[in-house]
Amino acid sequence: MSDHQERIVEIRQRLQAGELAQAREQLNEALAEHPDEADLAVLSVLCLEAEGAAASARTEVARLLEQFPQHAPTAFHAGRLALADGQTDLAESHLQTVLALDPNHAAARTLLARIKQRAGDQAGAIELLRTALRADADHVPALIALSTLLLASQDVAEARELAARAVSLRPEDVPAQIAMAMAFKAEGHEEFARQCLRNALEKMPGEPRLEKALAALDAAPDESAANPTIIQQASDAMLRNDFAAAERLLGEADPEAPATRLAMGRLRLQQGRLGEAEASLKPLLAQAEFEHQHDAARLLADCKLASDDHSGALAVLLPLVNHPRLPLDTSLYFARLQHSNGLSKEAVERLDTLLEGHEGEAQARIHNMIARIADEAGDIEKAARHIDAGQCRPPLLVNELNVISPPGLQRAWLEVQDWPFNDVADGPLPVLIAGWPGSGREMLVSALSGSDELTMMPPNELGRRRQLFNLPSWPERVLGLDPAMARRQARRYRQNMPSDRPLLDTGWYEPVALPALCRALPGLTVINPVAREEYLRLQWRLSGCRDIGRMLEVWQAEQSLFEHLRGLLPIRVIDVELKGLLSDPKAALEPVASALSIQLTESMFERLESIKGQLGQRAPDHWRAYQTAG
Amino acid sequence: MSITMPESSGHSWPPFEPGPVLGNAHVQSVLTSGPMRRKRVQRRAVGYLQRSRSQVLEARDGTRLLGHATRTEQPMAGVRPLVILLHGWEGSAESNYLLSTAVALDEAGFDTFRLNFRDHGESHHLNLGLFHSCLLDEVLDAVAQVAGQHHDGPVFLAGFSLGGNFTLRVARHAPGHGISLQQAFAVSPVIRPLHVLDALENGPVIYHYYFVRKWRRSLKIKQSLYPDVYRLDDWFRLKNLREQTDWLVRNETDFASLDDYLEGYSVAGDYLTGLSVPTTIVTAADDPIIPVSDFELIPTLPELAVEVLEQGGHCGFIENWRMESWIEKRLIGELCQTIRNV
Repeated sequence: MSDHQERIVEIRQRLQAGELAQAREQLNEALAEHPDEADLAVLSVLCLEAEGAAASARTEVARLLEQFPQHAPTAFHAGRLALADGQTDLAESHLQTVLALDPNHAAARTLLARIKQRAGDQAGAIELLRTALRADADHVPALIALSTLLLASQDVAEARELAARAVSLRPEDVPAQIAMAMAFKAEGHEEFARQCLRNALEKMPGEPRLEKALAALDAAPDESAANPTIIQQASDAMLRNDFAAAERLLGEADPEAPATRLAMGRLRLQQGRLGEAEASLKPLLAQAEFEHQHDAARLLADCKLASDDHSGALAVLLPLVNHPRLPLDTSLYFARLQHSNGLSKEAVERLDTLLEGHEGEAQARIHNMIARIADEAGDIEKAARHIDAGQCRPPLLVNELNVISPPGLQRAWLEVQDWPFNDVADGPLPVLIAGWPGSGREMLVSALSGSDELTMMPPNELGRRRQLFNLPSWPERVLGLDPAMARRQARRYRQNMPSDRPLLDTGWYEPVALPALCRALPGLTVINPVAREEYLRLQWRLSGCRDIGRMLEVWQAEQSLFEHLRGLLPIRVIDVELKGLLSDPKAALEPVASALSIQLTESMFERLESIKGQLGQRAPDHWRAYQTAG
Repeated sequence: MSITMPESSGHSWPPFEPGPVLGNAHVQSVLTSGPMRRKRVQRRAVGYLQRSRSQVLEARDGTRLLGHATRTEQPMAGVRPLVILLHGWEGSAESNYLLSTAVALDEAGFDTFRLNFRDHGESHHLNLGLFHSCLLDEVLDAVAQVAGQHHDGPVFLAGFSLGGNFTLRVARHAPGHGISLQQAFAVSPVIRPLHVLDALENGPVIYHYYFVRKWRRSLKIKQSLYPDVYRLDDWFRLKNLREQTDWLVRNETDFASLDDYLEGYSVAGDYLTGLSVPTTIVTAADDPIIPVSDFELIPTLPELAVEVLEQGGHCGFIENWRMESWIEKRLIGELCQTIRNV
């Protein structure tokens, strides 16, 4: 260990021990000797934070980011501080930078998962946390966060496993002990839950979070079922589509409370009971609290859209659009509504005005919306002017693939020239859908999900299925897999699934996953949407992705590997041209239906058309217009 | 030891005659703990469980064991016998065979007390130390307390599998601990643990897997409750019972070796010599876990009757597809006969 690294460890230890003055003094000395050492410099941020100077910490981290733009820990602390300050977009941007610099940064993925969770994307958060744990299986915050999320989705057994691992790694970690207690409680082991918290309290007497958790456990059921908890539980139930549970829970809450009305409105909207949703929400429009008015108006607008009433949706939001606290999300939503009401010019004008008051990530989102609206309105020149400034999203799949499909693994599979197995599967085989976002994959998923003749594998169990095949899996492992183990994997994959029809697995599997799947399930089907590079490039640019060049590189590498594997593995590949899917879906889907022995139904086409509209899927040759526009 | 077959026992309970499929040892052994039986047992036990009262018993060394006491609603005329029930390894007071037997006893007019061993059932939190099968004193203390609190009639002890092994050991040491037992009854008891481990390793994997799975779950709970005491990651990497037991013996007990530990709770040889509590063992020749030859290792003793049925599997003795249990009838018949003779 070098001299300054030793000092870093010492300073960190002093900070953890609360010896702030000594830590600061030692840090200043070290920085005087090594002013350009990023690992040392970033400690000044931690010092400021420990000293309670959060604003100065943020200023300092911003300065350091300029000095060390390629230093992942600095970007991480910038993201962490931004998140703590409520600047979600900024935080996300910094954390994506961290992952670009260090794809195995589990802590960054964990914070990104928190952002997704806050945005209501529980499934996305779970996936991110699983990726974080693939990068670092011992990352305690990810273990705790995933355990908590899985508990909310009723996956109690896995939640307990994760919490158990967290407390085993860090017995003195308060959130870990609380997660463990909650997992025990969810399993019905209340005594174990209490003991967990009591044990922790013995070591940390008076720890307020532990005492609070223990008090909640000891409270009578009616006391613990306070309104916010009920609403949270009801929201969780809605996420699981368990409407009956949500209804029951909301029946226990104060019916006049704004939170109850909002939750009930959301429930009725999800159930398609639009009249009841509106009845629940409308009284909130007269509330003094802007946040209640706003949330109700957003949901009411969604209700209107659900009945295809675009003008009604616009009218609901109109009284709020000039409010100084209107979230940017709602401004963008409003602009889209203007556009769908034929007011594209007004929408773009409004967005142009908004550009002046925003910067950074937020400004990029506005540029992106202008580009999309202009593109759809046929003003390609205007769209082309905004499209590059509208790069507001991280590149799709690039960071994830770095972890689950690293170049070394791809090369290893490219070198495999022989598949020495002739196994035949003895049960229903999965149908997988390949393709990147925008390639037609979403349309295929949506259409095929509408077939009664396919059994849909539960999308929320994709993580379990991936674990089953030990992904990512190297050639030695797959080729050396014991046949009995492969059969066991196949049985577990099909567990509880009917045996009389193909299994539609809509999870996204990277090409390097295919050998492991084929080893257990030889003969599986892959539906492969085929799209032109130019088309994808435009789709991704219009959806606001950054670093399109890198995305295309990764996409091409994945394509090459897929081509290699389709020749190597016992899989049936059905190519579906995106061009056909967009222009003549019936003709494009017929070979798929024929290969899978299923009937094409009207509802499948309706689903396809619906998702096509939602995704803003452009016409097959639309990209040519941008060649002309430069 | 001469082994008595039930036909020649001279008592009045019906013979055990399962049909052709139920006669299979593995069907018996799997059904007894399986979900099909569980549903029926749980349905039948609703009222019984509502009347059960949990009780934590403290042994002299401070060990705390969890039990469940239930007073019958249909007591016998003039007497209120109590049966203390002991479950098998990685079973609990809620196990199918134990709960079903308890309910049958309750309906027949017996009070019951279902005792959990340390770290079994909902009791991992009660003690810092880990369970092992040589921990006899705490069970003796618990049985002594339960028996000592019962003044309305005779006290019986019955156990299954490892619980049967404990039953035999408790019965052997009962007088020395001031425990007044009217009779003991061991179903499919472990006699020579070394041989049981061999049988689990060499027999159908389902039994080995069953115990590994349950043991892992149990130790996961223990580790989660006391994470700074137990660092069992190395143990969790082990795949078979011999390695797992050996690891725990070496790292968590004072026994010199695995063999020393396993012999520590063997009741083969002269262990039971001096047994003064009338004791009955019922087991099956086709038990896939307890080798029948082990019963030859028990000496002939005046107070000990050993019955080996041809069929019944391990703690099975299921009579029909309604999941009715012959062993419950056998146990109740024998205890009633004892009560009549007192």
